[in-house]
Amino acid sequence: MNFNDTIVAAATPYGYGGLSVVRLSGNDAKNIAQNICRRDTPLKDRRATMVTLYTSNNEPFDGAVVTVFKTPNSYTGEDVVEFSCHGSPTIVEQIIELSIDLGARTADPGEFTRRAFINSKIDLVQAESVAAVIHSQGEKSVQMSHRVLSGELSNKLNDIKQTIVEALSYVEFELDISEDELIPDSVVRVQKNISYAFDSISALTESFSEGRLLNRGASVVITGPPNAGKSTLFNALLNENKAIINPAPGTTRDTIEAGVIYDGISVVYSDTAGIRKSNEDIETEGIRRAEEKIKNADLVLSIFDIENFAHFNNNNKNGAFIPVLNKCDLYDQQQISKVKSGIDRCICISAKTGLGINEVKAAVKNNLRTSASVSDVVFLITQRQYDVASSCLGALERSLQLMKNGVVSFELLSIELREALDAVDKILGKTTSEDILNNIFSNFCVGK
Amino acid sequence: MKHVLKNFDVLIVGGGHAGIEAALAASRMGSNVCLITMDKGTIGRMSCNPSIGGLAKGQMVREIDVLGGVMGRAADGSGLQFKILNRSKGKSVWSPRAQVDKRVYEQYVNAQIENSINITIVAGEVVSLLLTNNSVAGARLRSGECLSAHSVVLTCGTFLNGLIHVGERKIRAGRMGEEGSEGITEYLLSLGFVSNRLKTGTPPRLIADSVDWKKTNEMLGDKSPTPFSYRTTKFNPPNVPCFSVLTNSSCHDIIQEDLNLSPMFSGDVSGVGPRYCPSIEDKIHRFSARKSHTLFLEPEWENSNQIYINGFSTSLPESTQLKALRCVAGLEQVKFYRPGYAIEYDFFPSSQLKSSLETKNISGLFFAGQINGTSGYEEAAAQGLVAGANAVNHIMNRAPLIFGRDEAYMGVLIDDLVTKDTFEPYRMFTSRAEYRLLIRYSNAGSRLADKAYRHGLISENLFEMISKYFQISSRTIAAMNASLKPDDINPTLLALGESPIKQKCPAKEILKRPAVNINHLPLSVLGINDSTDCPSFLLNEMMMEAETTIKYEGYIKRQLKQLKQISKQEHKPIPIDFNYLKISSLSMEAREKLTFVRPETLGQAMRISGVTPADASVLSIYLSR
Repeated sequence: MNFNDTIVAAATPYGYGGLSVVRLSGNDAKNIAQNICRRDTPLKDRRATMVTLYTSNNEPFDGAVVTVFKTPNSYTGEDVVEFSCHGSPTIVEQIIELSIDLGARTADPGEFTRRAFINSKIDLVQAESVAAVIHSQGEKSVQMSHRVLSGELSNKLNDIKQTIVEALSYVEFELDISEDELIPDSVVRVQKNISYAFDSISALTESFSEGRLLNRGASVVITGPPNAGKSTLFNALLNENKAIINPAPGTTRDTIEAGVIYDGISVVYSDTAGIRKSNEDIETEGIRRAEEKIKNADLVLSIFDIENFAHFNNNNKNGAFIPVLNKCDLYDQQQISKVKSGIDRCICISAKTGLGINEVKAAVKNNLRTSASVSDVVFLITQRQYDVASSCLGALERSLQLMKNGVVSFELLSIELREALDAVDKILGKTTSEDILNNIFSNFCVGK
Repeated sequence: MKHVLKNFDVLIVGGGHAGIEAALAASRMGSNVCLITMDKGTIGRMSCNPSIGGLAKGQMVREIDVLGGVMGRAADGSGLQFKILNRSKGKSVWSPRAQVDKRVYEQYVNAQIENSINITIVAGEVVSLLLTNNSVAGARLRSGECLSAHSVVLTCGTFLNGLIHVGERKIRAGRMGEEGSEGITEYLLSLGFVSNRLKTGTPPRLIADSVDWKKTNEMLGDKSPTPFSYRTTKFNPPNVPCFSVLTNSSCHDIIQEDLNLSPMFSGDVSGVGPRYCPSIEDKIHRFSARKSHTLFLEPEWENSNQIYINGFSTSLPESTQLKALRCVAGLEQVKFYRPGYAIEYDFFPSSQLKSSLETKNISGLFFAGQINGTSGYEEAAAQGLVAGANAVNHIMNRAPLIFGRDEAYMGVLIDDLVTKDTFEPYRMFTSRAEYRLLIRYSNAGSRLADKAYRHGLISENLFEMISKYFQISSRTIAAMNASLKPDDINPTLLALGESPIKQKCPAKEILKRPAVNINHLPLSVLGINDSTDCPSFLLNEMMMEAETTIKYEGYIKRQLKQLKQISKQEHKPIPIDFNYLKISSLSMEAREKLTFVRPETLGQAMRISGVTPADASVLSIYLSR
């Protein structure tokens, strides 16, 4: 990858619309724009200018607003020019082609953000949140990603880093001075700092499942034996007839998904094939997919009726599940109470009549822990951040262990603390290897 | 003016600790060496403290010894007391130190030089170099005499435009009572080198008879002393005590009052002094909360009437020094042989050097010691040895002698020098060595003997002897895989308050318990026998080595794994003429720093101050294209 040249890409999605934006970044960005506009006077920095765009044959093809962002006060930290043109793919392509003729090249996915990172406009955590902001669904997710982008997580991490650095400097100091000059309370100070860092990182790793939930939306899977009424519940929860309903068992083959927003959080419901032994290839595949879905679910709605109550079991061994007793309209109160007393937290519904559906919705919301207000917790938002934070936590835990022994082995403590420090730096992208960076930035769409 | 042209292979300019090791190393490698000194009588002089080694420095003395250097043996032969420092802090940071008899030390070193048939000593002052096309061809003396050689090592110490300060009194000199050297800095500047000023200081020397010794605290060395050198066999040093006294508030008040008379505070000294070994006025000014500082009274030689007062380095006027010290219990009547003073001198920021210590500007020209901004005998000696060896490697067209940061403290020292900015005299610390678990004083032999032998720095005999010692440790480690029966070890474990074992257990696992050390184990049961042809101090050390290797196994493995991970980047070479200025995605500061330093590898580039990790990753992208 080369960072000396000028890159160009459409910043808005391909297609027809009111406006499209084409973005240029690099040393030649202003020259190229100047050339496409054919203006006598130079484009002014930090101004939006109404211009006419010309082809290489000097023929005008669109009117556009050009905005010039002078280095270093731009998204990438380089000279950036944005064309706001009419929303036609042809016009967008024309601007890009002209730019390439004039020396620019097409940007790689994520290259604008990558340049912002390289030029220290943002750190890696912030770069990751750019992708998160773009892909976020639900207002809480947007809020959370914005807070990471604005540097809140980075600040928290830098704060933890400072604590570790301070502990480490006491440890190193201990090693650098002779026995006669010991500072008596250094062990206490080191311990205090490590505990603080440990608690903070620990809170961050715990926040991850929630952060991830907010970020990519929650997956709620409806499962149960054939003909228990999964599709009926699915339709009831969505208020539409999306899934085909039929009294014949095994009607639903493939998984069907649909999304709703609860309290600003995106929730995707999946209706799955009923799980049973089947000799039919298509149904068997459907069941395999259902099982796969259940494995990755944030929450499982396990639906059953009184007839197959005996077969009821918790399908989601690893995670949260809500037992749902369907077809309650068909049974009397006594039968229902008997079932309910045997199964904890069981909700009684009739998917057909709508009885208890709101109760299911409330239970889903409750279970996804949407109660935590986004405004007072910072979250880790990517698996990468979580993995590195976990290794940091491990090193801090071993540090605390070392401090428990009567004589503190400062030389070993130093190794653990350096590892913890290294991990924090890795999250922030201060010491991240090239491969990881490539991986992160390849998840961006071109133009960001 | 006479123009006598004498021919040598290597010229060493300066006869301090750097010059001596440089001359001896080049001589061991078979070169015809000329040592040029302004005063033949001062070769090997210990101009400051009467001790060798100490924290992180002791490790370097061991390393110098394995590389065939003289410092360790000279200290063993002149030691008054020996002590392993930091015993309470884990084996990887144990550091040997010796108080030495300065006169005997100097004699020992001089004898070594005199016994080297291929070293010629010439008295004179070098004023310029002979050059052919940016390559060194020799040196010119003030007398006009010229000496020809293929490489030159400059070890000028504090003599370059040296300026001594005692209060407001200023004396142009190299050391107290010795003339400084003028002209060479200006000559080097004319060749495109960049110089700067540094400051260092030395405390007063007291007359022993004037001290009330009853009021001082006696401090002795270890009862069973450890020598520095693997070659020291007859070792029976005296255990001559040092003494300590404490400063007090009246002493501090006097210093505080006259602070403006110290050239460091009046602004008279432009050089920057060390943070680590600060002057007493600095300590009192910066740590004003501390009510007392410890001062150590150290004999400069056996039965010496001259006492070095460690911890009282100063450039205050003589009368203030005396007045302040006379407030200290035990020093009420104290008299000086000579007052403390500060010296300012020129140095050349060492990022102008390659890792071989050869200058990047002039081929065949090497710098070592205080000219590179370091402080300390050991730091100087380490550089001298490397520069001397590489002066010969240069002539023979062989790969230079370079140590990794994971290989030796000397490697850390030189890598820091060529990458970091020098704002104060550079002193070695254990905290500078990130791989300190791998570079213990006790494994110096196994780390470096092979390299030393391959570079011709030590004889085959010595190499084999050192290897044999370390076989004791590796045999012991292997023997620890054997299992112990409960009966063999449980009485010991119970006595230590440890839980007993219920069934057979590898000795190694038992040794990993924090409370257990190697001497707790029944060594004869494990088949470990005393080796007869190994000095007892080394036998102890080899047992300790085995114990350390086993106890730290997990951590050592982790450090090795880390090393492997970074090695690809670390060793990626950068062409010396690489144009950083054209890479606009590097920060301006990084571009300027990289252009000035011209690092040899990506690893070095990353360690340059001012080069951010983001800069490093840009650079890495460019280099892999």
